[in-house]
Amino acid sequence: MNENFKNIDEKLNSGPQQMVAHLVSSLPSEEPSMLWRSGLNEALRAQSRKAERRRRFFWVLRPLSLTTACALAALLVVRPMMMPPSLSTPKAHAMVSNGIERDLMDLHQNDMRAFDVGGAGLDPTEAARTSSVTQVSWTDDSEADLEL
Amino acid sequence: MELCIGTALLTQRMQNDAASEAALIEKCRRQDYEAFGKFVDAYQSRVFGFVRRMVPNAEEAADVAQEVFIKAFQNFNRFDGRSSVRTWLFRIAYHLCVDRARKEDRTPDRVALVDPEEGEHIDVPDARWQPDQLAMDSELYAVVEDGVKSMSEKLRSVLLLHDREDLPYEEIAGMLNVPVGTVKSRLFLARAHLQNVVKAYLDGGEKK
Repeated sequence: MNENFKNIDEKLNSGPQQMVAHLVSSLPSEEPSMLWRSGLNEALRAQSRKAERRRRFFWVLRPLSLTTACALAALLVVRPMMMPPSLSTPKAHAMVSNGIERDLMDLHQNDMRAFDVGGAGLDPTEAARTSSVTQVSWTDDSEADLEL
Repeated sequence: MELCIGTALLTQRMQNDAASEAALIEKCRRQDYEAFGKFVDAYQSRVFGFVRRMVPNAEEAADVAQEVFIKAFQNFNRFDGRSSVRTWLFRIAYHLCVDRARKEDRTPDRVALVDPEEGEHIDVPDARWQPDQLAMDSELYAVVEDGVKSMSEKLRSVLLLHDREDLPYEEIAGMLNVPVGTVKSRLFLARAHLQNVVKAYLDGGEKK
């Protein structure tokens, strides 16, 4: 293996190979045109603007997200401390919700009791009829009073 | 005494160059447009030349060369400095050329991967190989350019990266993801192919 490497190195350093290497290295260089360079500059400027926009976006986004995260964390930590001790435990929440339920039940039971005593009341048609009868009788009385 | 002063000045200049290149790279990492412009100035002709020889179509080569620098600009913050910035840039260029070739499904004429005849060399008058004269022989250069274009992508990339861009074997091996021995054998075959092309031109006395 090493002999092969040595062999190839020797071959590469031989006269004709070195002459070809020299010939290749001395090939005339080709300069790109001004038009090419101008096109490249344009493309690079566009890239630069895009990169700048991205940088600005992240510059704004990073502190904003950091602030939001801090605010949320503070809210989570501070809020339970701000609540009164009676409401800050799950047991207290259960008591509160039991109280509301009990109030609702009391209200419902009172309504039912009132219904049992007073009935459902007049329906709209009964209410209208009663109202017109009352009006007629009142008018009649007034006319009789005038004749007298 | 003068030699010592000259050496010291040269060393100091090299250190200054290295420091300014490091500063330039640092600015490029922060996507500084102006600094990257200087970086492009330094490397554009080398990258363009490499891509131009890897991609046959001139228009396409111009597109790929632009893409190389745009990609470099976008990803400069990922450059970790493990290799030289030149190697990193040529790595981008090489991969873009290979991607483009795959997309276009081009299969360049391949050179047989066999060792050329042992001891084969170009039988030419010595004067022909003088660099000054070679520099003037544009026809010979055209023959060499054609020879480079006619070889497979694997051989061509190694030949250009080593002999033209002066990258070390280890960095080319890392770039192409092959062992160093493979890089050396590919380089040998590529040069041998060019030897044959130049020999045929010189023997025939005309451009093939």
